[in-house]
This record gives sequence, C-alpha cells and structure tokens, in this order.
Amino acid sequence: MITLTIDGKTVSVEPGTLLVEAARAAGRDIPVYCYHPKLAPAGACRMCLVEIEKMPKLQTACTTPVSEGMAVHTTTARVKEAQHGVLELLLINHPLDCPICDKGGECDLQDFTLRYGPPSSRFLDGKIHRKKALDCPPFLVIDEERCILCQRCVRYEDEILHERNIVLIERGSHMTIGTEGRDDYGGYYSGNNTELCPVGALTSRPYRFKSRPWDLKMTPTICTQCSLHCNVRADVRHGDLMRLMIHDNPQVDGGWLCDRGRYAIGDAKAAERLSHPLVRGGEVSWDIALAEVQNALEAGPVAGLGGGRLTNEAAAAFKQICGTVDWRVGRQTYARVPGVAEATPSDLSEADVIVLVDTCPMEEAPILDLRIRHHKRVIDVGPVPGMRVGPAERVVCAPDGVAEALRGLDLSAAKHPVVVWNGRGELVEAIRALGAPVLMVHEVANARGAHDAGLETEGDILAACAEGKIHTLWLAGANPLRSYPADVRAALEKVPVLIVSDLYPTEVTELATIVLPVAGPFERAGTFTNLGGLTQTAAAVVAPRGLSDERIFQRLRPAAQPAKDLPARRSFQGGNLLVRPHLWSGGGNTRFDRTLEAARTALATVRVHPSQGLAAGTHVMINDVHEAVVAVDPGLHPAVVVVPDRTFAGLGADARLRAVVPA
Amino acid sequence: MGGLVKGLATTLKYLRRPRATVDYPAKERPYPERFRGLHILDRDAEGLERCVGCELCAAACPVHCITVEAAENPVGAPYSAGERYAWRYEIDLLRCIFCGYCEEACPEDAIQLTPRHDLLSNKREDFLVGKDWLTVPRQ
Repeated sequence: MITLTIDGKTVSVEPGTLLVEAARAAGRDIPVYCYHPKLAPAGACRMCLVEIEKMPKLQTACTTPVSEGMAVHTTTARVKEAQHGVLELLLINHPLDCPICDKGGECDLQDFTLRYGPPSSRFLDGKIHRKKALDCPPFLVIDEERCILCQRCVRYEDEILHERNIVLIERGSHMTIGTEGRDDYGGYYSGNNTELCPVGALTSRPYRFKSRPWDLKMTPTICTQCSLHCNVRADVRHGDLMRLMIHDNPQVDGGWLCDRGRYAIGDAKAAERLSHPLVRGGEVSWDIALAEVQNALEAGPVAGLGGGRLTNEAAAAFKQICGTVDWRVGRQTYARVPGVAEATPSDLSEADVIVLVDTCPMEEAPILDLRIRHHKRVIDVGPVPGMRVGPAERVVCAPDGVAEALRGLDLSAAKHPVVVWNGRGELVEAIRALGAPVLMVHEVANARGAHDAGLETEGDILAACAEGKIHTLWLAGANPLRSYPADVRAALEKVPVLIVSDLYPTEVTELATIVLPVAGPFERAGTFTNLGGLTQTAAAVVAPRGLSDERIFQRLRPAAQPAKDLPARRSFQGGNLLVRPHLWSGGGNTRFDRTLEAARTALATVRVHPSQGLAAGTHVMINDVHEAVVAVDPGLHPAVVVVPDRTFAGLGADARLRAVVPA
Repeated sequence: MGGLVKGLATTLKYLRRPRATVDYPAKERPYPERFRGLHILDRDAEGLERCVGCELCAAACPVHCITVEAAENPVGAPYSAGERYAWRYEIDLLRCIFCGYCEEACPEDAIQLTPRHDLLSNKREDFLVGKDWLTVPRQ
C-alpha cells in the first residue's frame, strides 16, 4: 500500500492507482472528461490538473500514478486558474445550445463550468460551426459542434469493442469524431457511447428530445431480452419508460449494455398490443375469460408450452396449473449439461481458453461477447463462425460433425477452460468429455429459471397435439409457428382448446380459442435466473396493460388431468439450411417496435461460403419462397446456407438459392 | 342624533367625489406594464414559436403547474427555429401563483406574463390551458 496526502488528507491505496482514483478514495472529486474507470488513461482533456509538491508544473491526475509520500493539492490558486483556462478553451467553439441538448441536466461540461469555470467568455470572434444532428443509424445522433474531443467513445470502440466504429477524423482544429467510410454505426453496442460521452455530442435517436433528466423517476431493474439479465436503470416519465441506462453489476454486465437491451423498449405502446381477453374472437371481461380457461383446464388432458419468458414465480405457477409443461419451443434442447460444473460470466474474464460450441455469443447474449473478444485463445467449433470480432482458432466442421470435432480437442493444458454452448443439438456427451465448466447461452430469457422450476417433460407435446392426445394446450409467451424447427400448424389446429397468453396478436393468437393479454417486461415484478445461475429481481416500473402471468395463474385451479404418455421428442438434424440466432430477430417486442426498423433491415440476409459463387449483395430467392440479400462469409462450412432465426418461415431443411434481379 | 348627522354628512361628502370602481367588463382599469398576469407563448420575428421545449420553465416552477413535452421539428415545416420544439405545453392556471419564475428561466423569452388577468369560467378543465390558448397568433 502507498500512503499519500491529498489536500492534507492522508490515504493509503494500492500501488499503481491513479491520482484521480486516490482522490476519490480521499473524498475529493477531481473533474475529468477523458478519464473513465473502464478505459485506459489518455490525458487528453487537461481538466484534471493538480499541483504536486516538488513538481514544478501541474500534472494530470488521470495519468499520474501515486507514489509514496506524495503531497497533492487540488484546490490551490494555480489549479483553479488552470481549470478556468481549460474550461474557457473547451467552451470557445461549444455551441452552448443546452436548452435543446439531450444531455442538458446531466452534462459534465455544464456541471464543471458551474463548479470550476469562468462566469463568462472573453472570446470575441465567431465560433466554428460544424455538422449538427448528424444521423448515425440505427441509434446514434452525432453533434460535431458539441464534441470536446475527450476520445472516450474512440477509446471505448478500440479497447472494449475492438471494432472502431467511431474514430477521430481530420487533424488539428478540423478534428471531429465520426464513422469512417460509412454512414451507419454498424455494431451492436452503440448506445454505450451516449452514456460515455460527457457532453451532448453523442445522443440517442429513440430518446431524442423525449425528456429531461430531472423529469425521470429512476428505478434499478434488469433487462430480460436475453438470458444474461444485464442490470439496468429504468427511467420513467409520465408513466412511460423513456430509456434504459447502465447500472453496473461486475458479475453480470460489467457496466455495458447492448443496443437491443437498451433500445428495444418502444413496443410497450404499440397500437397492435392486445388489450382485452378474447374468447373465440370476441372481447370479453377477465372474469368470463378466466372462467372459460378454468372449464378448458377441467375438460380433458392439458399441456403447456413456453414459460421461458416468464418470471420464476409465474413459471412455477404455470407448472402447477398445467402439470405437463415444456419451455422448449425452439431449437434449444438443453438448459444445463448434467454432471458438469456451471460457469459464470465472471469465469469468462478469467478463462485462459474459451471453447465456443457452435454458438455465437454476439448474437445470443451480446454483452457476454465483450468478455470473450479480447481473449488470446478462443477455439470456435462449428459450421458457422461464432467469433465475429477478435482472434479465434476456427475448427470448421459440417453441421452434424460438431461432436466429432469436439472429440478432437484437447484442453488438458488449459488451467481455466470454459465451454460456451447454446444447448442445441445432441452434444451433451461430447461436451461432458471436454471436462471443462460450461456456460449455457439460452434461446429465451429465463430458460434457466424455467428449467429450475421443472418446466421440462420427457415427451413431445406438439407431437401429442398432432395425435389428438391433448384437449387444452396453453401457450404462455410462446409462438411455435415462428420458433419451432418444423411446421406445427396442423398440430395446433387439431387442439380443441388453444389458450394463448401474449402481448401481441401473432400467428398463434389467430388460431387460439382464448387469448389473454399479459403484462410485458417492465410491467411485472418477479425474479429471473440468468445463464450463470444468478437470480435477480425485476421491478415493475410502469403500469401493466393486461394482467401479469402470475396473477392469471393465481386465479385458476390446477388442471384435472395433465397430459400423459407423450410421444418421444423429435430431433432435427440434417440439411444444409442452418437457422441461427440474430440479435434483431426476436419475438414480439422487436417485431412491433417501430423504433427498431433501421436495425432490423439487416435481417433479410443469407450467409454463404465464397465457394458457392454468389457475390455479396446479390438478391436471391431461397427455395423460391423468400427473397434475401447475400452476405459472403469465408468462415462458414462450404456447404451450408445460414439464415437468421424467426425471419423466413416454411423453408424446410434444405436451401436452394437462385439469384434474382430485385423488383 | 349627532351620530346620524355625522354619518349622513360622510355619505353626502362621498356622493360628490368620483367613483372608485369601474364599470367592468365594459371598462377596464389600466394595469402596470410589468404586472404578472396570464401567460403567453411568444413568436419570433419570422413568426415561428420561440419555445424550444427545453422545460426550464417547468423546472423553475415552484408549484409544478407547467408540463412540457418536446419533439424534433418536422423537416421542411418547423414549428420553432432549430431542432427542437414543444409539442405539448400545458399550464394549470388554477395552480399557478403568477410568480414569474418561468419567464425568468426561459432562455428564449418564449413564455411571458402579461397584464391580462381576467380568469373566468365555471368549469375546472377550462383553466388547464394548452399551446393553442397560450401561443400568440401569427401576425
């Protein structure tokens, strides 16, 4: 430990600590712009100048490490003069359009000018004018005039993302931030820039002019878009969710949010949202609808599908009411690998070898990928590359050769290996043989919680429906017509009573006998268990439209006869068409969110190997059913064709591509 | 008896003086120019709304009687100069204490308190005024 005095106060800190952090420990706030605890020091803004005894000049506190016996002064006349000077220079070309700036009220330039700055400017010449309100789709708005060139965004893009979507352009007084060589942002993590930016140079398009920070009621809660459950701060105004902000939890998100987690909140007010219970297409009261449900539960064999999006409490109640329930309505089969230790997100940061088993964390749990992409050794096994950014050892194999490829891996030299898998396919034995802890990435947000609540059955409920063995089928937040690997319309049509509880009208609500509108995310409280087994509480921050799932189950009695003797589960292997998760290809909340249209344009793509002879950007018809744009990916297995999840329906197991001229 | 005479004398004295009241609403008493009465939202020289929806008036208001919601100006047909305008601007006049802090906080001189003071209705809703009531008509 190193002992030093800051403004006469003695503190002891770890060697290597920067002065700005030591001052915080001593209860002294040193103003900073370019410094950020998660980024490497830059010394770019000069705002943190302090006086150190025995040093002739002022030093930047954000780049100076502590040393024994150091005596630091942060409020002397010299320091104050320097702070005045720095702020006066920063404000020379700043437009001072605080009244129309989204950062106004939570802006460091405002706050520090008030606290440390000069009362007025001595600068008489005209300000330099630059581009304002520059759209950087899908979510950013850049204001070049407001930028103070602290380079927090540039360093975040470089050090955390390794993507460099935002860079410095030009030099000297022409220097600005921006995207180089393209107009859009092009990544999944743009929103963090708006929070890193200490001024209003980078702001959010969906939150633009919607509110002021002092209007907002801020509640910590969790995001339930993917199975990681990043901690967020929900900001509510007039009973509407305005925005989500980072709420750092080092165990889970490490203080970052992905764009889907941050921005996919515009669906709550969608006009399509279901508002009344429907029985055979007619609007009825809740009492009548629930009485109908109760009758259906007592009329014959009952089964439930879904539950992976419900809270732990609602999932347990769903199991109690329906008896025979399965959360697996998509491609994922396993929520745990039995007999293998479970890894946590923090284990990824400490791992020396990471094995991606046919899994793409960037699409399936984007914030998890930020822990993986800086690793030296990532082994990426599968027909489709799982590692998009950062170095990886690719082990390319055919879609049915993943188990074989895993058997070829030797992890005995690794001290702390972690296997990442999304639970698809029959790979349990091969993964167990690797002998490393496994981190499961789930298809739906609370799959782990549903698994713990016992929402799994041996047999195949949809096959039982097709055989006429089920009288009442309840789909709770599930749409097998979009998520199930095979066409199950005939099976659903055969069920005498189909109950659907959902937020939106979907393909299955059209077939349903009873439709129950339920409370959406941020409208219901409860606990969720994340992919590392951590159970966290989600808060209800806005008033619900509809009842919460838990409330519905509370008002019902358990089914008289849960379905029994189900046919065996099918397995879906074979064919060259691979359907893979895509960040924006989710269910209702992204489908009905108008603010996401710019992001969702990337969906209609089909990825092929260069050996298939199709140029990038070619328009093709897949099986003469759907049109898509070709993206060429040399990391793919040569034979496969990859399409995003829940985007093209009715394609079957094989894909034939035919180039067409776009209409 | 003496009191009666004295009282009658006072009455007679005041009968000859000019009247202290005016025949409102046919006639109105002039108010000082800086009297803090009912609000207006002013327009600039080009006829655009001065208000940019910054909500500083609402933040300054000690009784929280102002509600502002902003939006981005439509391209080609802006409501105000610049990027932002107030699509909703509401004042609850029954709650307002006419302190004038909103006027002081406004960076655009958009909200102004006028000498107008006649506030009359028998419905509560009428005192919740919006942009259509507040904004001065285009010249």
